[in-house]
Amino acid sequence: MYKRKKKIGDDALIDSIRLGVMPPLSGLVEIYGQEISSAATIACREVNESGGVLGKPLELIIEDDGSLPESAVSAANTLVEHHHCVALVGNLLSNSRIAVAYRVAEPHRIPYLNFSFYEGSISSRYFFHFAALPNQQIDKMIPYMQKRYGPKMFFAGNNYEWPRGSIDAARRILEKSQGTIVGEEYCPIGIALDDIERLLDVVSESGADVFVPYFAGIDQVHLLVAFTKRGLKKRMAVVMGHYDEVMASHLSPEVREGFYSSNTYFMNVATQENRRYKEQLLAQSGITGIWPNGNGILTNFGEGTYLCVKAFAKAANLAGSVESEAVVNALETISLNGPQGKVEMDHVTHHAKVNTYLSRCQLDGTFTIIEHFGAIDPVIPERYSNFQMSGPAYLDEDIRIQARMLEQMTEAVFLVNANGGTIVYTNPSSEKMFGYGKGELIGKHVSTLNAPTDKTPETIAEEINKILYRKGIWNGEIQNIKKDGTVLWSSASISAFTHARFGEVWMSVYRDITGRKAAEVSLHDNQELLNTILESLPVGLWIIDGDGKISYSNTAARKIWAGARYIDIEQLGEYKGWWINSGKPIGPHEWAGSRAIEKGETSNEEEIEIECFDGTHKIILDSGIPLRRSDGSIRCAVTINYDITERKKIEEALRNAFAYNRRLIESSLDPLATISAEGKITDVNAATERVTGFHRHELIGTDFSDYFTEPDKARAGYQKAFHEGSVQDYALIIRHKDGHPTPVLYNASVYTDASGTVIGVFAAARDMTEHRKGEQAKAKLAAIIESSDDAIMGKNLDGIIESWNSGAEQIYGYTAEEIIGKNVSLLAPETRKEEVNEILQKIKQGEHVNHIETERIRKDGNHFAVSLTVSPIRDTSGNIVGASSIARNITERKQVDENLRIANLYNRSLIEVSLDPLVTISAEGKITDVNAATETVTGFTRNELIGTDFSDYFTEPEKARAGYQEVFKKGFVQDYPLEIHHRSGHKTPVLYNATVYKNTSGTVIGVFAAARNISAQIAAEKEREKYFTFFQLSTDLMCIADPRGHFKKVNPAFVRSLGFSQEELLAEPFINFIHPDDRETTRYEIALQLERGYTLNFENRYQCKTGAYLWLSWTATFNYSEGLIYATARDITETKNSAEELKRVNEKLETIFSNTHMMFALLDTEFTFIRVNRAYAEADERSPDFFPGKNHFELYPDVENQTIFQHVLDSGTPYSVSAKPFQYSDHPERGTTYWDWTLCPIFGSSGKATNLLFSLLNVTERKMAEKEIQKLNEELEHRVMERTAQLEAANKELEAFAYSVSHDLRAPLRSIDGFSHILLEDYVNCIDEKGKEYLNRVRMAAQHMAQLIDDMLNLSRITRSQLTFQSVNLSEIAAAISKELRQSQPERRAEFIIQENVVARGDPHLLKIVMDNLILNAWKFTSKHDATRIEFSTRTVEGKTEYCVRDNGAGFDMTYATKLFGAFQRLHTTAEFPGTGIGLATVQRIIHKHGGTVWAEGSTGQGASFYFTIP
Amino acid sequence: MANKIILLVEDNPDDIELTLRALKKSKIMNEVTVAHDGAEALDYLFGTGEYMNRDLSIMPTVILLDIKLPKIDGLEVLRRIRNHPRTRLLPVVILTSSKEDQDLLHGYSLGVNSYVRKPVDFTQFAEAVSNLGLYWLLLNERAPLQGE
Repeated sequence: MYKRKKKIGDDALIDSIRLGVMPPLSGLVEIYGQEISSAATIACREVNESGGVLGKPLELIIEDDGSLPESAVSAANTLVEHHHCVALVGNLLSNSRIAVAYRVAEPHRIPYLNFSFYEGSISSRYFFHFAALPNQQIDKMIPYMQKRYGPKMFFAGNNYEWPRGSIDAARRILEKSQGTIVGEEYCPIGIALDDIERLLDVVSESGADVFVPYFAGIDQVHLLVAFTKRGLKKRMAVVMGHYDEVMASHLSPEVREGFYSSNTYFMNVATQENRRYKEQLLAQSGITGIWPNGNGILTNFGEGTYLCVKAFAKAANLAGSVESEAVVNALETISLNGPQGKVEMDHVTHHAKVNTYLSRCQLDGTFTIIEHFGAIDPVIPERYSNFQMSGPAYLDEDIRIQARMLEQMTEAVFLVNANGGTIVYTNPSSEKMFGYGKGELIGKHVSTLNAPTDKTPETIAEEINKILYRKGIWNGEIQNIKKDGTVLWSSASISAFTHARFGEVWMSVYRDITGRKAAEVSLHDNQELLNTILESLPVGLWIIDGDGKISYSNTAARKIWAGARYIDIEQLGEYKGWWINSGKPIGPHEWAGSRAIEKGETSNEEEIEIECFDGTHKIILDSGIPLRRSDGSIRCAVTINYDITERKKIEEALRNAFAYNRRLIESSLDPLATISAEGKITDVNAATERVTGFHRHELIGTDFSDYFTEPDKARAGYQKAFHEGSVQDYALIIRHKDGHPTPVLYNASVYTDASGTVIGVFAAARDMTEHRKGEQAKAKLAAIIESSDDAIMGKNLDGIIESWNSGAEQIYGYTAEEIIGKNVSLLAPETRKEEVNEILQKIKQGEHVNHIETERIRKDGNHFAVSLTVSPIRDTSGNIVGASSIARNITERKQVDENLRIANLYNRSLIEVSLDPLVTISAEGKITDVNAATETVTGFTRNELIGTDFSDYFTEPEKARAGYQEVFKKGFVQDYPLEIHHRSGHKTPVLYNATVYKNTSGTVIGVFAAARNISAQIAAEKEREKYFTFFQLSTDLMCIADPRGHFKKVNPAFVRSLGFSQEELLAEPFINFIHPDDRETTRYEIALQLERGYTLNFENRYQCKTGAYLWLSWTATFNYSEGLIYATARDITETKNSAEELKRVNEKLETIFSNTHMMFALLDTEFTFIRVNRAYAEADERSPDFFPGKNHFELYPDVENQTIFQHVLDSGTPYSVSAKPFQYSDHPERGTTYWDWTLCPIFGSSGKATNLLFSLLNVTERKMAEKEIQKLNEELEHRVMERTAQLEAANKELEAFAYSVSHDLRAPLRSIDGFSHILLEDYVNCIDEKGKEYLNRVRMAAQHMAQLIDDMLNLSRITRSQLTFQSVNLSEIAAAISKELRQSQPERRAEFIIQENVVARGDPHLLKIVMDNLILNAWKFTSKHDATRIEFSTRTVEGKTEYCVRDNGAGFDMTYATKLFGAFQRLHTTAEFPGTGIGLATVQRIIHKHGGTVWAEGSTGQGASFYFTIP
Repeated sequence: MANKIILLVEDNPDDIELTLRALKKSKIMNEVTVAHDGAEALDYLFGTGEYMNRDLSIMPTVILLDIKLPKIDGLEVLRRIRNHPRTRLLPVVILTSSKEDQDLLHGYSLGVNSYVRKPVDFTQFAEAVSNLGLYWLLLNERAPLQGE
């Protein structure tokens, strides 16, 4: 807490009069603190300038009162006790004032001068009030406002003493002057802005002429701002009792202007004193100017403070003393002039007659004085006047009436003699309550009524007297005892007064609360029980109190959240959470707990995700339940958290697994079906629907065998499955509804019910159509290879020949047997060996060698020309493993080429006879020659044509010209379409192929153009297109391609899908658009297609213009007659991708499912296993395949678990349990195992639980570890016990030792002493003086040793003894010892100074020994002094009591201070001071045994002080 | 006074000597029978062992009993004395070096008539024995003997 201390006055060191001042320098009303300090300072300076107090300077000690009662009391105590202030000035707030008046000023009897207007509740001899009471502020102000603004007034204020008192006064005045109260409202301190608005709603509608608000501090500021904002100023006047310059300075001009205020002082008061004060204020350091021109402000508080300081000085000077009673007497009639004018103290009420001003605030924050009502007498409000001046010596007047009342009271009343504690009066109720007869208690000590206690009756009496002296009354609960010995609890109140007959008495009033106490005990027990239950609940539980503060969390709750914060609703944001379905964060007012508190809403299991305090995330079910009081208001809310994180994870995984499974089955391309024992179909998937052409509902219930070409074989198949448990690769042909056959291979296995009875077959068919076709194609290919005239061979990468066809046999002359295994280079002539290696290198790099012409050598040694094509062979994973080469003997072709060259000579004639129109054109485009066909098609003769423009004979001359110009440019054109124009008008569509021809020097001299008449072809195409309009419209990708690898035509869907234009697609071989990895298979497929005439469901990837690839599934036919491929593709990219994705996810899931140590089993609603994971199966030493179809409870019968399973299924709520014990009924040797299990229902689309996921974790080891720990703990305990036993044994030994010391060591000493004595007696004549002296020494030594042994035994006895703690009056012990000592040596001049009533808590016997030793010690070491002084006293150091025994004896050298307490340590010789040196060791041992410390201080010859503490 | 016998049960010869001297010095001339251990004391009292033929009608007027004794310790001797009808009323004084609480408690709970700690200082010791003798032999009236 902030506290400031300030010293005023330059001469703090010289003797000054100190006055304590308590301004609020911090806290709620700190805005007034500075002003109050300044006023006190100025007043103090004035006092000192005019001579001070009683000739001494007045010194102010300023302590911050902190705006709170506790800090104010602490400040006041500091001022009085520490600074020795003779009077106090304070405090601003009512509760602080009351606390200081009754808790400090009255007990200390210190004058307390007050500077702040208040309600008038304080009545005390030491209290003097120098500010306004409600009547002084209100009596004049209300009638004035009524007269000026109207009779209707609205009162409102905070709900505490001062506003209540003020409004009471105002209401009374208004009623007296016939005004009307249109409203009266009280709001809590710290009123919310919303509530201010609601209050102003009421005010605004009340029709009030005047509004009188009594709110404290910031509440008032908020209210005035809101009031102004609403424009209410125009509708009503506002008057207040505490509106001043400071408050105005915190408001904007438009808000503060126009409000009225009534008080004892305003800065505009026109008095001499006020003017002087403002001058002094301006001179203060830090003051920038007088308000509103600076920060120099004085309000009624500061003015009051000024008055208090001046009044104190004046009173002290008048009294001629600063003694409290004198100052109080002077203050009772004090009067003085202050800034407000004249102020006079009323000696009856101790409240001053003060001035009242009514003022109005201006825009600039100053207050214009409207009226000065003069000085008004103080009137204590009625509600407080009853308490006036009650005190001792007041109650004894109507004693007779009181006596009669006492007789009537139902409470027990005792009058007890305040000095002796004897009961002097009992009323009938008391006798009845305590079970005594009439008058039986009179004369008995009051402690007769009290239950036994450690405190002596005297101590209790003393304590009560102390309290009564301080507070006047003692209240509390006491345990009493009735006459019959039973316990009676009572609520007691004890007060002291002087009774006319009995003198000083306590009046004790008892009310029997035994029943309530019993209820409290039972309540406490119940609460304990409840706490235990709450703490052990497995769900997290929070309690939020009615104010929204989290007040409790149980262990589970803190575990869930990794901690707990006990905070208010507004800070609930510290708890982080999100709604699971929307992912939105949960606001402070949205939590189930907040809603329960704020709206009384009950929320049930809201699923939320939370972030715990350690940063982890969890999913919990959050419920909030409001708990109401009997009146329906909400007392608190309970929030329940249930951690379902694990459950959610498992549920999610399972849901996924299950959904994927079903989807996999559904999307399986293999037809799947389940068949009952009777051979009826019970379920099928979509693939089955496709392959049969029937709908699922049509199929279910029908005979399985009906759907096959060979029903008998089908029947035999599943019967075999039933019989043998499974069949594999059973070949059948499914017949489609439309007759289409699908060859399939069936794999089938049975599934059984819990009892192991086979209930059906699960059959999966694999469509073998494609496979078969592939097989056929392969066979065909082999035939082709075998029958080919080309030499086809396969070789590995080393060139070793691995296959060899008959073509090769013929061409090379080697048989397969001869050549296989030999190197291929055998076939190349010497000059070509290198080439063979190069080819192999290319192959290794994946390249192809196409149609190279080279030379090879036959077996017979002849060379021949070959055209060689070599391609790499890849294995299934794509690695190159070898090469296939095709070689064609081109010796013959070469020959033909030669012949052709010769035949060229006959070109001309051939051209002539060509049916195609042929023509040669010059560079200028003129026809240079034509053949007969050209004459026919144009209708012109050769002579007519030659020399004319070639382009003249076409329907599109420009296109024709472009055509032959292109030839000149490129060297050729191919299939250039043109239309020849016959002179008759007939048109002939042609395709031109043209090439340039050159002279021998290589110069182009013309174009040779050959046209092909394509009329018939176009007609055919048109015909075909009629059938292919859908080609344009189809969404499937369609194309027509030639077998050489070019698209002839593609449809719009093709263009759309790939993004390339038709031109782009037609410009390149289509193989270029295909994914490089798919090109080989595509080529192979086309080859197959050409062979067999069609392609079905061939899949490859095409590149789009974007670079992406589309998966296409092709269907194609090859039209032999046209030589064209008609192909349709479907984009299956998505299916492919999702299937891939699905496969991957499922694999992942499967991996987890299979590899986790968590055991999973999926059960159907009959608890039959659907599947289990590896962990589950292994735990039972079985294979996972064992479980499907078997019933869980057939395998593991357990009635209790079955009930749980059924409940989960029925209720749909998951169940989980930790460390549940389980015994395998069939494997008793495994013993008891422990399992964490979770059983979750899985909901189907219908919302019903369709499956159960059972997950288990074997926690036997953990459980065993726990048991191990428990065992270890027990062992530990055992060890502790053993150790204790050892210690006990050691203790026993010690005792035995002590015993034998006491017995055995003393016996010889006795002999020594005894016989020495006998010698001295019987042989007195035989021994000379020296001998006698020696014998005496022997005796002395023996006796000393006996003493040592006794002391040692005592010391050891102390070590062994048990402590019993009681209150021990050390003073009494010291007194008793001193008495004994005096009697023992009456001749000694000894003075014992023993502090009274020093009580310590400890073992009475041992503390007696301590006191004995210390005082005897002191007695012993003072024996050489003439006057012995032994003192026993206490002192308090740092809150601890230190006990001290001091003497004025021999003292000791501090160097040896630590040695004092050692056993048998002595600082003086025995001759000087007798003793064994065990006394202080004993003292130390006893004090240490009590947990205290002991030490000594002293110096030689100066006496010694022994201090000890007992905690 | 002639037939008043003191039974001194004491094993330490020094103590026997000192006790006898102390009695003599205080002019107590009664017969003192010394038993050197617990067993001998019991034999004497019950006429067993070497005291087989003792006249059991003669019983000691007071028994001075040490606690720490060979064979049977003093407290056991006391217990047996108090348990037997013939001896249960005999005055027994424990005269020992020990002043351990346990011995005191044990002794008194077994019904000892007096418990005296032997002082080391012979002067004091002699005084104690003398007081004992005077008290038990002269002042104290013994209970009538219990017949068989």
